[in-house]
Amino acid sequence: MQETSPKSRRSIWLDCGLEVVERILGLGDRRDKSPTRGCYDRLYWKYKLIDYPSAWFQAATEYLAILYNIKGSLFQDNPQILKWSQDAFGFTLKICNRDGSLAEAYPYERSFCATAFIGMHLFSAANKVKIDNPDGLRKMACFLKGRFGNHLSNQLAAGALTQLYAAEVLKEEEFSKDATSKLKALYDNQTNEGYFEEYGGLDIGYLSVTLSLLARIDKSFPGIVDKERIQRALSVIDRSVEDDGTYEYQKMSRRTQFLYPFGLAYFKSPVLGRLKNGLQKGIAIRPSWLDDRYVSQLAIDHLLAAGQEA
Amino acid sequence: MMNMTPVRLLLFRIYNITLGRFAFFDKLLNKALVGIFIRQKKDDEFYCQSSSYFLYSEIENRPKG
Repeated sequence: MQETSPKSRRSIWLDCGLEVVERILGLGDRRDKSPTRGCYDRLYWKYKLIDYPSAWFQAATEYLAILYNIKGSLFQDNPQILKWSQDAFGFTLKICNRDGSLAEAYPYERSFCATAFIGMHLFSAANKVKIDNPDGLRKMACFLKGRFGNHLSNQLAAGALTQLYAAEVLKEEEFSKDATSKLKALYDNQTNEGYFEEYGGLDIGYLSVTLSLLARIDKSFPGIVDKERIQRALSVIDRSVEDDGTYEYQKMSRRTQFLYPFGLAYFKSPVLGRLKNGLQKGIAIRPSWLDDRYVSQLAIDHLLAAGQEA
Repeated sequence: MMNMTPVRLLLFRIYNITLGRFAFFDKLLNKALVGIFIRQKKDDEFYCQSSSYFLYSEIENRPKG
């Protein structure tokens, strides 16, 4: 990867976030005249092995938007990066179902999870690179309104953030109210021990995703999240994560093995240092270790953590 | 550009698990797919595991390679 600042002087978060740039760009259809321009599901647009593009890959939209804003990098203010982010945004809206929902696992799936997360990435990208398509974004927010998926904590947090963005961009109070109800549903998932339940138990990886999303909410919309609840959740991570950034993933409800760093950085958790230690030792999971479906999300979170630390 | 669709995938799989079980028909299908996706393609759409990846020349003003 080519970068203006020497690798040795970059933070570990920036390093982890940028070392997958070529891979993520390689996943995308960057051909100007292609009808699938902006699609980041290579199995669909390139190899034609599957019959629908999974929306999950479109998180690349925000990854590119962040790249475009990284000061001192080759990507800063690069018109190609801007165009590719806009193309990814456009393709995502193109594959929306009529009700604004997105498909993750099969054609015409109305996935709460994919719509909440990818909607959040699109709104966030729109803020960063001035993409303007209120109608497309409004359809997504309307689909999420009043829906809670399977009441999974990380998805509720993503849905809440998407609706807060929607309320701000579209200037419609109803989305703000919906965000509040999603946060309330999330808080209902908090156990006496302090963690937000995922599939009936504790999962440190997903808890770090939820905290990262709550950090994003607090950063963009101060005063909304309940800090006391966050501190209780942070204390669970603090008790569970080892000095090398690992934890007993076999005991987790979803067996996740990663940690999302942004929430830890934003809320100044001591676990961030342990994760850094694990990354430097090559023990903790970094974005490049994840498969194509999830690489963009973890890379985005590392870039956000880099911005927080800077 | 022929992308896969649910209907195409269904027809494809029906062929795979019926006629495709026999070597002759499988070979026929293989020839057709190579014809459609490889021989008739322009350079920029070439079906190959090493094509369409990102190069820094795409964002820099320097020659490809």
